[in-house]
Amino acid sequence: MEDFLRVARVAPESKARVNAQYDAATGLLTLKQWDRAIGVLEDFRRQFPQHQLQPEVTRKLAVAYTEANRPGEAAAEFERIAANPAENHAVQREALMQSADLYAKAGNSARAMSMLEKFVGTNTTPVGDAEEARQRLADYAAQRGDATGRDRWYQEIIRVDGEAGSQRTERTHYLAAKAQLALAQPARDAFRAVRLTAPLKKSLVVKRDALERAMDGYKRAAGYQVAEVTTAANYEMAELYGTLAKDIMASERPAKLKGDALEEYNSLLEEQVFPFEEEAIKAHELNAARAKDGVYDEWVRKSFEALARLKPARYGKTELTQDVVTSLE
Amino acid sequence: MSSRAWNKRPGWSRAPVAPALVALVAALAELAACGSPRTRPQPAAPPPPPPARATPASPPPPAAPTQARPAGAATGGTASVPGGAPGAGAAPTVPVHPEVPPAARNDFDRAVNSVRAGNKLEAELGFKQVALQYPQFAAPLVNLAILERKDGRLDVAEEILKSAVAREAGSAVAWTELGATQRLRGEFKDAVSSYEQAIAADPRYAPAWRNLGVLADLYLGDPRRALTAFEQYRQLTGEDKPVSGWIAELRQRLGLGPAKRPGAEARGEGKPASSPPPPASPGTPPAGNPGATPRGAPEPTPQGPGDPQTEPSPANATGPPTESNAPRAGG
Repeated sequence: MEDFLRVARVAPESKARVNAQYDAATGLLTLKQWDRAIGVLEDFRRQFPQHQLQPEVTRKLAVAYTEANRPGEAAAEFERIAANPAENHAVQREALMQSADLYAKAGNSARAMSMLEKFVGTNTTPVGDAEEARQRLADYAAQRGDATGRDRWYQEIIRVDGEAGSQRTERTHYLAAKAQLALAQPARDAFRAVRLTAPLKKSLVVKRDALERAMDGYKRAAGYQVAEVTTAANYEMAELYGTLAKDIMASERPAKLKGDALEEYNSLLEEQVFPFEEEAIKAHELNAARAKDGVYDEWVRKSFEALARLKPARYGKTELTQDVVTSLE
Repeated sequence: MSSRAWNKRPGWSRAPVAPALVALVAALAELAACGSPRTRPQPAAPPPPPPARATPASPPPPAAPTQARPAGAATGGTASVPGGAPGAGAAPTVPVHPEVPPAARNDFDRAVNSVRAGNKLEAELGFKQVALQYPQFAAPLVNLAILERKDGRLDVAEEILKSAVAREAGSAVAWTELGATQRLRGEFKDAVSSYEQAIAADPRYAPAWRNLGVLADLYLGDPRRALTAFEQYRQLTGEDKPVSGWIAELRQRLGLGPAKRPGAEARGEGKPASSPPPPASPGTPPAGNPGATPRGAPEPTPQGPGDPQTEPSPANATGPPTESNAPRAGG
């Protein structure tokens, strides 16, 4: 190897120099001398930009940068591989994903997203891999506070899963269910934000529309029949009913109502919210009933907590545990 | 939402209500129509249950009802639970607790005081030291597990409690804490098994009955078993609230008539032990007055953080030594 490198030094213009430098880099990679190999390969790239071995140099640099724990530079080399039209599709595809991963590792989420976008644009099948990439794109968008971008990817995940036919897998189904659940959240927040002001009749119309949109989202999510999504959706639907009941009771009272009339108005409201409270209990009970089937996730637990408040005689039964055992024997 | 009884009150009439309310009622009715079968999205029915989750190997099956210890039955220092605890002999025995060296008690008490003083690190070190020096006792490990559980590390707590019951299989407290931890983790079948072991170890350890009742009712959908367990708990503790209410609720749900209020004698209120308790096993109705001073009949204390279904009982829930939990000589 040192001989190869010497050739490059003493006869820089000789034809033998090209092969000697390339062979030296190969030898350094075999010896796992990553930084030295990188130096030789970068020099080769500068000296012989049109050489037919350049694609090989790029591959070797990708390996060397990865092994040298220089993910940003490795990602750029994989990006070159992916962009080379001479490479076959499988290699391009793998290189794109490697590049995305390495950019992510380097903390360059913008470039990682760019690679993933290229991936889903050029690799619509297998559906499973493309859906995973879309999920990652949704996660990146969420991390950047880009709610519109996140929701666009969620919509894509749902659409592709719905059209996947025989390529639909449990995993794509799960991702679509989670996406649908996430998409329901903005509608839920919008519903919560609607204040019931006087005249109640008018603001109730707005609240009702918001309720229907939120309910529809959670119903769709529950329709996927994915256990953890169903329990989350049930919990959220229960909470929508409960919130509606609370908001009606806290609604702005007509200014002209005083004394007995106001009291009766309050009583009337109380009567009217009763069915919503019952619906909340029913939805939570659906979740609680899943415990005996072995489903005891965060949402089932939260439903139990809610039921202990809403129906304490039935669900407020509590265990006894020790705070500290004070007797050694 | 407060009482709903108002709408049943006599003389209620909507006549005085301003006409504007008629419009309000119509609006609310319209809103309620969101929930009509046509348009209201119903909470989804649960999907089919997933395949059974793999759970750790269950402890041995519950022991046969514990035999009352024959008077003067001397045993060695190792604990045993009839019918299946590690090292259990063939003959039915009662739990035996290891003899406590004074130094062990002092070290343990110091660690307990550290817990009370809020010095968790010191308490942990203390319990670990006692656990290492005196491997015959479950209590230091139980306390370590409780500290882990308070920090939300339920998996670690469960593992420690499994070690505790392996050390001292006759510790109803350790089995009960294990059951409660398993319940928190959603391992309901394992929790049943642990409570059954607790009851087999000491049928008079009331929290095991209460916790079994909560588990059966809320998480296993077995109200009959819950009723039996709560009745046993009430009989052992003489406690009225809240358990009498729970019993009444269960009886109503099961279509049974109201329970006859147990008299003071039947509840064993303030009565000294006159005889050992009759055999009791979880899942079967209590066989009469236990007739002994109940162990561990604490009043519930405010709910602990993290899980409103669990109440820490007062510090010394193990109560005074009774015939079955008094230190044994020998070993």
